[in-house]
Amino acid sequence: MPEPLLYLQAMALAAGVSAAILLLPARWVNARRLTARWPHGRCALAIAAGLAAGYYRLSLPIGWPPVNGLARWLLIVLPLVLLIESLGGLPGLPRWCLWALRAVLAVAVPRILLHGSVYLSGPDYGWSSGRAMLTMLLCSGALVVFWTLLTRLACRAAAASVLGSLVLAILVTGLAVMLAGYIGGGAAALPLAACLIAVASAQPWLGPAPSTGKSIATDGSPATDRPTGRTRPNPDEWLRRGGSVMLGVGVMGLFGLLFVGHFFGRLSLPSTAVIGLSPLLGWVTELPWTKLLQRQRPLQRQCLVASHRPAWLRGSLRIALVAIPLAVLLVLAKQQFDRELAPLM
Amino acid sequence: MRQTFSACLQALVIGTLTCLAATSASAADEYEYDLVHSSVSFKARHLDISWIHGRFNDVSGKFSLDREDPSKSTFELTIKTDSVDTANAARDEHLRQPDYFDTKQYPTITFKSTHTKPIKGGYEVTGDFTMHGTTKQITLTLMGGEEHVFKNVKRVAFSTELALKRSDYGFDPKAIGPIGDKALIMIDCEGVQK
Repeated sequence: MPEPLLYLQAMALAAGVSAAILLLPARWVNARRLTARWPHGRCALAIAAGLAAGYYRLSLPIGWPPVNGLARWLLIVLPLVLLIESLGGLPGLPRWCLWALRAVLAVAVPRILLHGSVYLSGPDYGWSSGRAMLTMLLCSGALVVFWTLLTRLACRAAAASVLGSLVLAILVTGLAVMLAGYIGGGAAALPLAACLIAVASAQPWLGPAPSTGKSIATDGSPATDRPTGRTRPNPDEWLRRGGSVMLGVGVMGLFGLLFVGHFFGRLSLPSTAVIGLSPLLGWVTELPWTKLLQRQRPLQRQCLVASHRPAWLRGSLRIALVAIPLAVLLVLAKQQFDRELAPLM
Repeated sequence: MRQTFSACLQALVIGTLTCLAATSASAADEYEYDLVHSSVSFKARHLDISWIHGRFNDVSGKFSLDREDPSKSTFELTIKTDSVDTANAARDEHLRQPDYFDTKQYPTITFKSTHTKPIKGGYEVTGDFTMHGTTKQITLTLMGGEEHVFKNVKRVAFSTELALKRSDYGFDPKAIGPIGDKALIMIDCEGVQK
Protein backbone atom coordinates (compact mmCIF):
# COMPACT_ATOMS: atom_id res chain seq x y z
CA MET A 1 0.00 0.00 0.00
CA PRO A 2 1.30 3.51 -0.76
CA GLU A 3 2.42 5.36 2.35
CA PRO A 4 2.44 9.11 1.57
CA LEU A 5 3.73 10.11 4.99
CA LEU A 6 6.67 7.74 4.68
CA TYR A 7 7.45 9.10 1.22
CA LEU A 8 7.42 12.66 2.50
CA GLN A 9 9.72 11.70 5.35
CA ALA A 10 12.11 9.96 2.98
CA MET A 11 12.14 12.95 0.63
CA ALA A 12 12.70 15.41 3.47
CA LEU A 13 15.50 13.30 4.89
CA ALA A 14 17.16 12.87 1.51
CA ALA A 15 16.93 16.59 0.75
CA GLY A 16 18.10 17.59 4.23
CA VAL A 17 21.12 15.30 4.21
CA SER A 18 22.11 16.36 0.69
CA ALA A 19 21.85 20.05 1.48
CA ALA A 20 23.67 19.62 4.79
CA ILE A 21 26.56 17.81 3.16
CA LEU A 22 26.81 20.42 0.46
CA LEU A 23 26.59 23.38 2.80
CA LEU A 24 28.73 21.89 5.54
CA PRO A 25 31.03 24.69 6.67
CA ALA A 26 34.28 24.35 4.87
CA ARG A 27 36.32 24.57 8.03
CA TRP A 28 34.63 21.47 9.38
CA VAL A 29 35.71 19.39 6.49
CA ASN A 30 38.81 21.45 5.80
CA ALA A 31 38.04 21.25 2.14
CA ARG A 32 37.28 24.74 0.95
CA ARG A 33 40.06 24.63 -1.59
CA LEU A 34 39.04 21.20 -2.69
CA THR A 35 35.43 22.31 -3.10
CA ALA A 36 36.48 25.32 -5.09
CA ARG A 37 38.59 23.18 -7.37
CA TRP A 38 36.41 20.11 -7.44
CA PRO A 39 32.72 20.90 -6.81
CA HIS A 40 31.75 17.74 -8.67
CA GLY A 41 33.11 15.58 -5.89
CA ARG A 42 31.18 17.43 -3.23
CA CYS A 43 27.96 17.35 -5.24
CA ALA A 44 28.36 13.62 -5.82
CA LEU A 45 28.99 13.07 -2.13
CA ALA A 46 25.94 15.13 -1.19
CA ILE A 47 23.70 13.25 -3.61
CA ALA A 48 25.05 9.86 -2.50
CA ALA A 49 24.51 10.67 1.18
CA GLY A 50 21.03 12.01 0.52
CA LEU A 51 20.06 8.96 -1.50
CA ALA A 52 21.39 6.61 1.16
CA ALA A 53 19.39 8.41 3.85
CA GLY A 54 16.22 8.56 1.79
CA TYR A 55 16.32 4.93 0.76
CA TYR A 56 17.14 3.87 4.30
CA ARG A 57 13.98 5.64 5.45
CA LEU A 58 11.96 4.04 2.68
CA SER A 59 13.21 0.60 3.79
CA LEU A 60 13.14 -0.80 0.30
CA PRO A 61 13.76 -4.57 0.30
CA ILE A 62 17.20 -4.44 -1.25
CA GLY A 63 20.42 -6.08 -0.21
CA TRP A 64 23.69 -7.33 -1.57
CA PRO A 65 23.93 -9.03 -3.97
CA PRO A 66 21.17 -7.12 -5.74
CA VAL A 67 18.52 -9.56 -6.89
CA ASN A 68 16.19 -7.50 -9.02
CA GLY A 69 16.24 -4.61 -11.45
CA LEU A 70 15.49 -1.92 -8.90
CA ALA A 71 18.20 -3.16 -6.54
CA ARG A 72 20.74 -3.22 -9.37
CA TRP A 73 19.78 0.32 -10.33
CA LEU A 74 20.23 1.50 -6.76
CA LEU A 75 23.33 -0.46 -5.82
CA ILE A 76 25.26 -0.59 -9.08
CA VAL A 77 24.08 1.98 -11.60
CA LEU A 78 23.66 5.04 -9.38
CA PRO A 79 27.01 4.61 -7.60
CA LEU A 80 28.72 4.16 -10.95
CA VAL A 81 27.24 7.32 -12.42
CA LEU A 82 28.13 9.25 -9.27
CA LEU A 83 31.68 8.00 -9.50
CA ILE A 84 32.01 8.86 -13.19
CA GLU A 85 30.46 12.30 -12.80
CA SER A 86 32.60 13.11 -9.79
CA LEU A 87 35.64 12.33 -11.92
CA GLY A 88 34.35 14.83 -14.44
CA GLY A 89 35.64 17.82 -12.56
CA LEU A 90 39.15 16.56 -12.06
CA PRO A 91 41.68 18.92 -13.60
CA GLY A 92 43.47 17.38 -16.51
CA LEU A 93 40.86 14.76 -17.35
CA PRO A 94 40.18 15.02 -21.09
CA ARG A 95 36.60 15.65 -22.11
CA TRP A 96 36.58 12.69 -24.47
CA CYS A 97 37.62 10.45 -21.62
CA LEU A 98 34.61 11.52 -19.56
CA TRP A 99 32.27 10.94 -22.47
CA ALA A 100 33.85 7.56 -23.12
CA LEU A 101 33.15 6.55 -19.54
CA ARG A 102 29.58 7.76 -19.87
CA ALA A 103 29.16 5.81 -23.11
CA VAL A 104 30.52 2.62 -21.53
CA LEU A 105 28.12 3.02 -18.64
CA ALA A 106 25.23 3.67 -21.03
CA VAL A 107 26.03 0.48 -22.92
CA ALA A 108 26.35 -1.55 -19.72
CA VAL A 109 23.27 -0.29 -17.90
CA PRO A 110 20.54 -2.17 -19.85
CA ARG A 111 22.50 -5.41 -19.46
CA ILE A 112 22.99 -4.77 -15.75
CA LEU A 113 19.32 -4.04 -15.18
CA LEU A 114 18.12 -7.07 -17.14
CA HIS A 115 20.62 -9.44 -15.54
CA GLY A 116 19.08 -12.76 -14.53
CA SER A 117 15.66 -11.78 -15.81
CA VAL A 118 13.37 -13.79 -18.01
CA TYR A 119 14.27 -11.55 -20.96
CA LEU A 120 17.80 -12.92 -21.11
CA SER A 121 16.96 -16.54 -20.35
CA GLY A 122 16.70 -17.61 -23.97
CA PRO A 123 13.97 -17.83 -26.57
CA ASP A 124 11.99 -20.47 -24.68
CA TYR A 125 11.01 -18.01 -21.98
CA GLY A 126 12.22 -14.59 -23.08
CA TRP A 127 13.88 -12.92 -26.00
CA SER A 128 16.07 -14.41 -28.68
CA SER A 129 19.70 -13.36 -28.39
CA GLY A 130 19.29 -11.08 -31.42
CA ARG A 131 16.27 -9.33 -30.01
CA ALA A 132 17.92 -8.96 -26.63
CA MET A 133 21.02 -7.44 -28.20
CA LEU A 134 18.98 -5.10 -30.38
CA THR A 135 16.79 -3.94 -27.51
CA MET A 136 19.76 -3.26 -25.26
CA LEU A 137 21.62 -1.42 -28.01
CA LEU A 138 18.58 0.71 -28.80
CA CYS A 139 18.16 1.60 -25.15
CA SER A 140 21.86 2.42 -24.79
CA GLY A 141 21.83 4.53 -27.95
CA ALA A 142 18.75 6.40 -26.79
CA LEU A 143 20.39 7.03 -23.44
CA VAL A 144 23.57 8.44 -24.99
CA VAL A 145 21.62 10.68 -27.38
CA PHE A 146 19.35 11.86 -24.55
CA TRP A 147 22.32 12.61 -22.28
CA THR A 148 24.17 14.48 -25.02
CA LEU A 149 21.17 16.56 -26.05
CA LEU A 150 20.38 17.59 -22.50
CA THR A 151 23.99 18.49 -21.79
CA ARG A 152 24.15 20.61 -24.92
CA LEU A 153 20.86 22.24 -24.00
CA ALA A 154 22.20 23.05 -20.56
CA CYS A 155 25.25 24.61 -22.19
CA ARG A 156 23.15 27.14 -24.07
CA ALA A 157 21.28 28.98 -21.33
CA ALA A 158 19.11 28.51 -18.24
CA ALA A 159 20.95 25.33 -17.39
CA ALA A 160 19.08 24.78 -14.14
CA SER A 161 15.82 24.52 -16.06
CA VAL A 162 17.13 21.37 -17.74
CA LEU A 163 17.59 19.82 -14.33
CA GLY A 164 14.14 21.08 -13.38
CA SER A 165 12.67 19.26 -16.37
CA LEU A 166 14.49 16.10 -15.38
CA VAL A 167 13.27 16.28 -11.79
CA LEU A 168 9.73 16.78 -13.05
CA ALA A 169 10.06 13.74 -15.30
CA ILE A 170 11.53 11.67 -12.44
CA LEU A 171 8.65 12.59 -10.13
CA VAL A 172 6.07 11.77 -12.78
CA THR A 173 7.84 8.48 -13.51
CA GLY A 174 7.62 7.57 -9.84
CA LEU A 175 3.93 8.37 -9.66
CA ALA A 176 3.15 6.65 -12.97
CA VAL A 177 5.02 3.49 -11.95
CA MET A 178 3.16 3.47 -8.64
CA LEU A 179 -0.19 4.00 -10.34
CA ALA A 180 0.65 1.10 -12.66
CA GLY A 181 0.97 -1.12 -9.59
CA TYR A 182 4.69 -1.18 -8.78
CA ILE A 183 4.73 0.77 -5.54
CA GLY A 184 8.34 0.05 -4.54
CA GLY A 185 9.69 1.05 -7.93
CA GLY A 186 7.73 4.28 -7.98
CA ALA A 187 8.71 5.20 -4.45
CA ALA A 188 12.37 4.92 -5.40
CA ALA A 189 11.99 8.00 -7.59
CA LEU A 190 11.05 10.29 -4.72
CA PRO A 191 14.32 10.51 -2.73
CA LEU A 192 16.21 10.93 -6.00
CA ALA A 193 14.09 13.91 -7.01
CA ALA A 194 14.40 15.38 -3.52
CA CYS A 195 18.19 15.06 -3.56
CA LEU A 196 18.48 16.76 -6.93
CA ILE A 197 16.23 19.63 -5.86
CA ALA A 198 18.19 20.09 -2.62
CA VAL A 199 21.60 20.03 -4.27
CA ALA A 200 20.48 22.36 -7.04
CA SER A 201 19.06 24.77 -4.46
CA ALA A 202 22.22 24.70 -2.37
CA GLN A 203 24.58 24.92 -5.31
CA PRO A 204 24.74 28.76 -5.46
CA TRP A 205 26.39 28.71 -2.01
CA LEU A 206 29.19 26.52 -3.24
CA GLY A 207 31.33 29.42 -4.29
CA PRO A 208 32.85 30.26 -7.62
CA ALA A 209 33.45 27.59 -10.18
CA PRO A 210 36.95 26.63 -11.21
CA SER A 211 38.37 28.88 -13.86
CA THR A 212 37.53 27.96 -17.41
CA GLY A 213 40.35 26.34 -19.24
CA LYS A 214 40.87 23.75 -21.88
CA SER A 215 42.56 21.46 -19.44
CA ILE A 216 39.49 21.29 -17.20
CA ALA A 217 36.97 18.78 -18.37
CA THR A 218 33.47 19.32 -17.16
CA ASP A 219 30.54 18.18 -19.12
CA GLY A 220 31.47 17.84 -22.70
CA SER A 221 30.09 21.25 -23.57
CA PRO A 222 31.14 22.42 -26.99
CA ALA A 223 31.84 26.03 -26.12
CA THR A 224 33.59 26.41 -22.82
CA ASP A 225 35.67 29.30 -24.07
CA ARG A 226 33.11 31.17 -26.07
CA PRO A 227 32.33 34.77 -25.14
CA THR A 228 29.13 35.05 -23.14
CA GLY A 229 28.26 38.72 -23.05
CA ARG A 230 28.01 41.02 -20.09
CA THR A 231 24.45 40.63 -18.94
CA ARG A 232 23.93 36.92 -19.30
CA PRO A 233 25.54 34.43 -16.88
CA ASN A 234 27.66 31.78 -18.49
CA PRO A 235 25.67 28.50 -18.57
CA ASP A 236 28.93 26.60 -18.26
CA GLU A 237 29.33 28.10 -14.84
CA TRP A 238 26.40 26.02 -13.61
CA LEU A 239 27.82 22.83 -15.08
CA ARG A 240 31.30 23.50 -13.72
CA ARG A 241 29.92 24.01 -10.24
CA GLY A 242 28.62 20.46 -10.09
CA GLY A 243 25.67 20.83 -12.41
CA SER A 244 26.98 18.09 -14.66
CA VAL A 245 26.87 15.69 -11.70
CA MET A 246 23.22 16.51 -11.08
CA LEU A 247 22.49 16.24 -14.77
CA GLY A 248 24.22 12.86 -15.06
CA VAL A 249 22.48 11.45 -12.00
CA GLY A 250 19.18 12.84 -13.21
CA VAL A 251 19.57 11.36 -16.68
CA MET A 252 20.65 7.96 -15.43
CA GLY A 253 18.08 8.04 -12.66
CA LEU A 254 15.26 8.76 -15.06
CA PHE A 255 16.48 6.14 -17.50
CA GLY A 256 16.78 3.48 -14.81
CA LEU A 257 13.35 4.17 -13.37
CA LEU A 258 11.71 4.09 -16.78
CA PHE A 259 13.59 0.94 -17.75
CA VAL A 260 12.67 -0.91 -14.56
CA GLY A 261 9.13 0.44 -14.64
CA HIS A 262 8.61 -0.73 -18.21
CA PHE A 263 10.44 -4.06 -18.28
CA PHE A 264 9.65 -5.22 -14.75
CA GLY A 265 6.57 -3.18 -13.92
CA ARG A 266 3.59 -2.33 -16.07
CA LEU A 267 4.56 1.08 -17.35
CA SER A 268 3.40 0.98 -20.96
CA LEU A 269 5.72 1.73 -23.85
CA PRO A 270 3.84 4.92 -24.88
CA SER A 271 3.98 6.24 -21.32
CA THR A 272 7.66 5.36 -21.08
CA ALA A 273 8.37 7.14 -24.36
CA VAL A 274 6.39 10.25 -23.42
CA ILE A 275 8.14 10.62 -20.07
CA GLY A 276 11.54 9.81 -21.54
CA LEU A 277 11.21 12.31 -24.38
CA SER A 278 9.54 15.10 -22.45
CA PRO A 279 12.74 16.72 -21.08
CA LEU A 280 13.91 17.11 -24.67
CA LEU A 281 10.99 19.45 -25.33
CA GLY A 282 13.20 22.11 -23.79
CA TRP A 283 14.93 22.25 -27.16
CA VAL A 284 11.81 23.91 -28.55
CA THR A 285 12.93 27.13 -26.87
CA GLU A 286 16.10 27.01 -28.92
CA LEU A 287 14.37 26.82 -32.28
CA PRO A 288 14.74 29.95 -34.42
CA TRP A 289 11.01 30.47 -34.91
CA THR A 290 10.42 30.71 -31.18
CA LYS A 291 12.29 34.00 -31.17
CA LEU A 292 8.91 35.54 -31.91
CA LEU A 293 8.10 34.92 -28.28
CA GLN A 294 11.06 36.87 -27.04
CA ARG A 295 11.20 40.48 -26.08
CA GLN A 296 13.16 41.73 -29.03
CA ARG A 297 15.64 44.50 -28.85
CA PRO A 298 16.84 46.38 -31.95
CA LEU A 299 20.19 44.67 -31.94
CA GLN A 300 18.70 41.24 -31.31
CA ARG A 301 16.23 41.54 -34.16
CA GLN A 302 19.12 41.10 -36.50
CA CYS A 303 19.97 37.79 -34.94
CA LEU A 304 18.13 34.67 -36.03
CA VAL A 305 19.19 32.48 -33.17
CA ALA A 306 17.05 32.30 -30.10
CA SER A 307 19.89 32.55 -27.63
CA HIS A 308 19.23 36.21 -26.83
CA ARG A 309 15.98 35.53 -25.04
CA PRO A 310 16.21 36.16 -21.28
CA ALA A 311 17.37 33.07 -19.50
CA TRP A 312 14.52 33.10 -17.00
CA LEU A 313 11.97 33.18 -19.82
CA ARG A 314 13.61 30.33 -21.64
CA GLY A 315 13.85 28.34 -18.43
CA SER A 316 10.20 28.90 -17.61
CA LEU A 317 9.18 27.97 -21.13
CA ARG A 318 11.17 24.77 -20.95
CA ILE A 319 9.58 23.75 -17.66
CA ALA A 320 6.11 24.54 -19.00
CA LEU A 321 6.71 22.60 -22.20
CA VAL A 322 7.83 19.58 -20.25
CA ALA A 323 5.09 19.85 -17.65
CA ILE A 324 2.17 19.81 -20.07
CA PRO A 325 2.59 16.30 -21.53
CA LEU A 326 3.62 14.95 -18.16
CA ALA A 327 0.48 16.34 -16.54
CA VAL A 328 -1.69 14.81 -19.25
CA LEU A 329 0.06 11.47 -18.82
CA LEU A 330 -0.40 11.58 -15.08
CA VAL A 331 -4.13 12.23 -15.42
CA LEU A 332 -4.46 9.28 -17.81
CA ALA A 333 -2.46 7.05 -15.46
CA LYS A 334 -4.70 8.03 -12.56
CA GLN A 335 -7.80 7.24 -14.60
CA GLN A 336 -6.41 3.84 -15.49
CA PHE A 337 -5.55 3.22 -11.85
CA ASP A 338 -9.08 4.14 -10.75
CA ARG A 339 -10.48 1.83 -13.38
CA GLU A 340 -8.28 -1.22 -12.85
CA LEU A 341 -6.41 -1.24 -9.57
CA ALA A 342 -8.45 0.87 -7.15
CA PRO A 343 -11.22 -1.76 -6.92
CA LEU A 344 -8.60 -4.24 -5.73
CA MET A 345 -7.73 -2.21 -2.65
CA MET B 1 40.94 -72.89 -23.35
CA ARG B 2 41.42 -71.32 -19.92
CA GLN B 3 41.36 -67.83 -21.48
CA THR B 4 38.12 -68.60 -23.30
CA PHE B 5 36.54 -69.86 -20.08
CA SER B 6 37.71 -66.78 -18.21
CA ALA B 7 36.26 -64.48 -20.87
CA CYS B 8 32.94 -66.31 -20.79
CA LEU B 9 32.84 -66.06 -16.98
CA GLN B 10 33.55 -62.34 -17.10
CA ALA B 11 30.81 -61.84 -19.67
CA LEU B 12 28.41 -63.82 -17.51
CA VAL B 13 29.20 -61.78 -14.40
CA ILE B 14 28.94 -58.47 -16.25
CA GLY B 15 25.70 -59.54 -17.90
CA THR B 16 24.22 -60.62 -14.59
CA LEU B 17 25.20 -57.35 -12.92
CA THR B 18 23.78 -55.37 -15.83
CA CYS B 19 20.50 -57.27 -15.61
CA LEU B 20 20.39 -56.73 -11.86
CA ALA B 21 21.02 -53.03 -12.34
CA ALA B 22 18.36 -52.85 -15.00
CA THR B 23 15.92 -54.66 -12.73
CA SER B 24 16.79 -52.29 -9.94
CA ALA B 25 16.32 -49.26 -12.19
CA SER B 26 13.02 -50.48 -13.48
CA ALA B 27 11.76 -50.71 -9.91
CA ALA B 28 11.30 -46.94 -10.00
CA ASP B 29 8.38 -45.90 -12.16
CA GLU B 30 8.69 -42.55 -13.88
CA TYR B 31 5.66 -40.27 -14.01
CA GLU B 32 4.98 -36.94 -15.61
CA TYR B 33 2.76 -34.27 -14.14
CA ASP B 34 -0.64 -34.40 -15.83
CA LEU B 35 -1.73 -30.80 -16.15
CA VAL B 36 -5.26 -31.77 -17.15
CA HIS B 37 -5.99 -33.61 -13.92
CA SER B 38 -3.83 -31.65 -11.50
CA SER B 39 -3.87 -28.27 -9.90
CA VAL B 40 -1.73 -25.96 -7.82
CA SER B 41 -3.88 -23.46 -6.01
CA PHE B 42 -3.38 -21.06 -3.15
CA LYS B 43 -5.29 -18.84 -0.82
CA ALA B 44 -4.34 -15.87 1.31
CA ARG B 45 -6.16 -13.78 3.88
CA HIS B 46 -7.69 -10.46 2.87
CA LEU B 47 -7.96 -7.92 5.70
CA ASP B 48 -7.78 -10.96 7.97
CA ILE B 49 -11.51 -11.54 7.48
CA SER B 50 -11.74 -13.58 4.28
CA TRP B 51 -9.74 -15.68 1.83
CA ILE B 52 -8.64 -14.84 -1.69
CA HIS B 53 -8.24 -17.90 -3.87
CA GLY B 54 -6.02 -18.32 -6.88
CA ARG B 55 -4.19 -20.90 -8.91
CA PHE B 56 -1.25 -21.37 -11.23
CA ASN B 57 -2.29 -22.60 -14.65
CA ASP B 58 1.10 -23.58 -16.02
CA VAL B 59 2.74 -26.29 -13.97
CA SER B 60 5.07 -29.09 -14.95
CA GLY B 61 6.96 -31.76 -13.12
CA LYS B 62 7.87 -35.36 -12.81
CA PHE B 63 8.36 -37.94 -10.13
CA SER B 64 9.75 -41.41 -9.83
CA LEU B 65 8.37 -43.93 -7.39
CA ASP B 66 10.47 -46.78 -6.14
CA ARG B 67 8.10 -49.12 -4.37
CA GLU B 68 10.89 -51.38 -3.14
CA ASP B 69 13.09 -48.64 -1.79
CA PRO B 70 10.89 -45.56 -1.30
CA SER B 71 13.82 -43.47 -0.15
CA LYS B 72 14.97 -43.50 -3.80
CA SER B 73 11.76 -41.87 -4.98
CA THR B 74 12.13 -38.35 -6.27
CA PHE B 75 9.73 -35.46 -6.87
CA GLU B 76 10.12 -32.30 -8.92
CA LEU B 77 7.66 -29.53 -9.60
CA THR B 78 7.99 -26.30 -11.58
CA ILE B 79 5.34 -23.58 -11.48
CA LYS B 80 5.39 -20.69 -13.92
CA THR B 81 4.60 -17.60 -11.90
CA ASP B 82 3.34 -15.78 -14.96
CA SER B 83 0.37 -18.15 -15.03
CA VAL B 84 -1.09 -16.85 -11.77
CA ASP B 85 -4.86 -16.68 -12.00
CA THR B 86 -7.16 -15.22 -9.37
CA ALA B 87 -10.17 -14.78 -11.64
CA ASN B 88 -9.41 -11.06 -11.93
CA ALA B 89 -7.14 -9.97 -14.77
CA ALA B 90 -6.14 -6.66 -13.16
CA ARG B 91 -5.20 -8.38 -9.92
CA ASP B 92 -3.24 -11.03 -11.83
CA GLU B 93 -1.25 -8.28 -13.56
CA HIS B 94 -0.66 -6.65 -10.20
CA LEU B 95 0.58 -9.92 -8.71
CA ARG B 96 3.07 -10.33 -11.57
CA GLN B 97 4.78 -7.06 -10.67
CA PRO B 98 7.97 -6.81 -8.62
CA ASP B 99 6.11 -5.96 -5.41
CA TYR B 100 4.72 -9.50 -5.50
CA PHE B 101 5.88 -12.42 -7.66
CA ASP B 102 8.18 -10.33 -9.90
CA THR B 103 7.58 -12.75 -12.74
CA LYS B 104 10.09 -11.10 -15.10
CA GLN B 105 12.87 -11.68 -12.60
CA TYR B 106 11.64 -14.93 -11.06
CA PRO B 107 9.69 -16.79 -13.74
CA THR B 108 9.35 -20.03 -11.78
CA ILE B 109 8.64 -21.49 -8.38
CA THR B 110 10.33 -24.86 -8.03
CA PHE B 111 10.48 -27.79 -5.68
CA LYS B 112 13.07 -30.53 -5.90
CA SER B 113 13.16 -33.36 -3.41
CA THR B 114 16.30 -34.30 -1.57
CA HIS B 115 14.98 -36.95 0.79
CA THR B 116 11.91 -39.18 0.75
CA LYS B 117 10.52 -41.19 3.61
CA PRO B 118 7.51 -43.49 3.42
CA ILE B 119 4.72 -42.83 5.91
CA LYS B 120 1.34 -44.35 6.37
CA GLY B 121 -0.76 -43.41 3.36
CA GLY B 122 1.96 -41.59 1.48
CA TYR B 123 5.42 -40.07 1.65
CA GLU B 124 7.18 -37.43 3.64
CA VAL B 125 9.28 -35.56 1.12
CA THR B 126 11.95 -33.07 2.08
CA GLY B 127 13.37 -30.82 -0.59
CA ASP B 128 14.43 -27.39 -1.79
CA PHE B 129 11.60 -24.97 -2.40
CA THR B 130 12.58 -21.90 -4.39
CA MET B 131 10.29 -18.92 -4.67
CA HIS B 132 11.07 -15.26 -5.42
CA GLY B 133 14.75 -16.10 -5.62
CA THR B 134 14.89 -17.56 -2.13
CA THR B 135 15.48 -21.25 -1.52
CA LYS B 136 14.41 -22.93 1.69
CA GLN B 137 14.24 -26.55 2.69
CA ILE B 138 10.70 -27.68 3.40
CA THR B 139 8.98 -30.98 4.10
CA LEU B 140 5.82 -31.93 2.27
CA THR B 141 3.47 -34.64 3.37
CA LEU B 142 2.28 -36.27 0.18
CA MET B 143 -0.83 -38.32 0.73
CA GLY B 144 -1.93 -40.89 -1.82
CA GLY B 145 0.27 -42.80 -4.17
CA GLU B 146 -2.11 -45.54 -5.16
CA GLU B 147 -1.78 -46.75 -8.72
CA HIS B 148 -4.66 -46.81 -11.12
CA VAL B 149 -4.61 -48.12 -14.65
CA PHE B 150 -7.02 -46.35 -16.97
CA LYS B 151 -7.02 -47.10 -20.70
CA ASN B 152 -3.74 -48.94 -20.34
CA VAL B 153 -2.04 -45.96 -18.78
CA LYS B 154 -0.81 -46.17 -15.22
CA ARG B 155 -1.62 -43.16 -13.08
CA VAL B 156 -0.64 -42.17 -9.57
CA ALA B 157 -1.89 -39.18 -7.61
CA PHE B 158 -0.78 -37.25 -4.54
CA SER B 159 -2.18 -34.37 -2.55
CA THR B 160 -0.49 -32.00 -0.14
CA GLU B 161 -0.91 -28.66 1.53
CA LEU B 162 1.78 -26.23 2.42
CA ALA B 163 1.69 -23.12 4.59
CA LEU B 164 4.33 -20.45 4.16
CA LYS B 165 5.03 -16.86 4.97
CA ARG B 166 5.67 -14.54 2.04
CA SER B 167 8.05 -12.47 4.12
CA ASP B 168 10.32 -15.53 4.45
CA TYR B 169 10.80 -15.49 0.70
CA GLY B 170 11.87 -11.90 0.18
CA PHE B 171 8.50 -10.39 -0.66
CA ASP B 172 8.31 -6.69 0.08
CA PRO B 173 6.89 -6.39 3.61
CA LYS B 174 5.17 -3.15 2.59
CA ALA B 175 3.36 -4.95 -0.20
CA ILE B 176 1.88 -7.43 2.23
CA GLY B 177 -0.62 -4.83 3.43
CA PRO B 178 -4.23 -6.03 3.40
CA ILE B 179 -3.21 -9.38 1.94
CA GLY B 180 -1.92 -11.53 4.78
CA ASP B 181 1.67 -12.64 5.04
CA LYS B 182 0.69 -16.27 5.37
CA ALA B 183 -0.36 -18.19 2.28
CA LEU B 184 -1.66 -21.72 1.91
CA ILE B 185 -0.70 -23.70 -1.17
CA MET B 186 -2.68 -26.75 -2.16
CA ILE B 187 -1.16 -29.19 -4.63
CA ASP B 188 -3.15 -32.00 -6.21
CA CYS B 189 -0.91 -33.82 -8.61
CA GLU B 190 -1.76 -36.69 -10.90
CA GLY B 191 1.12 -38.36 -12.67
CA VAL B 192 1.02 -40.32 -15.90
CA GLN B 193 3.59 -43.05 -16.35
CA LYS B 194 6.05 -42.30 -19.11
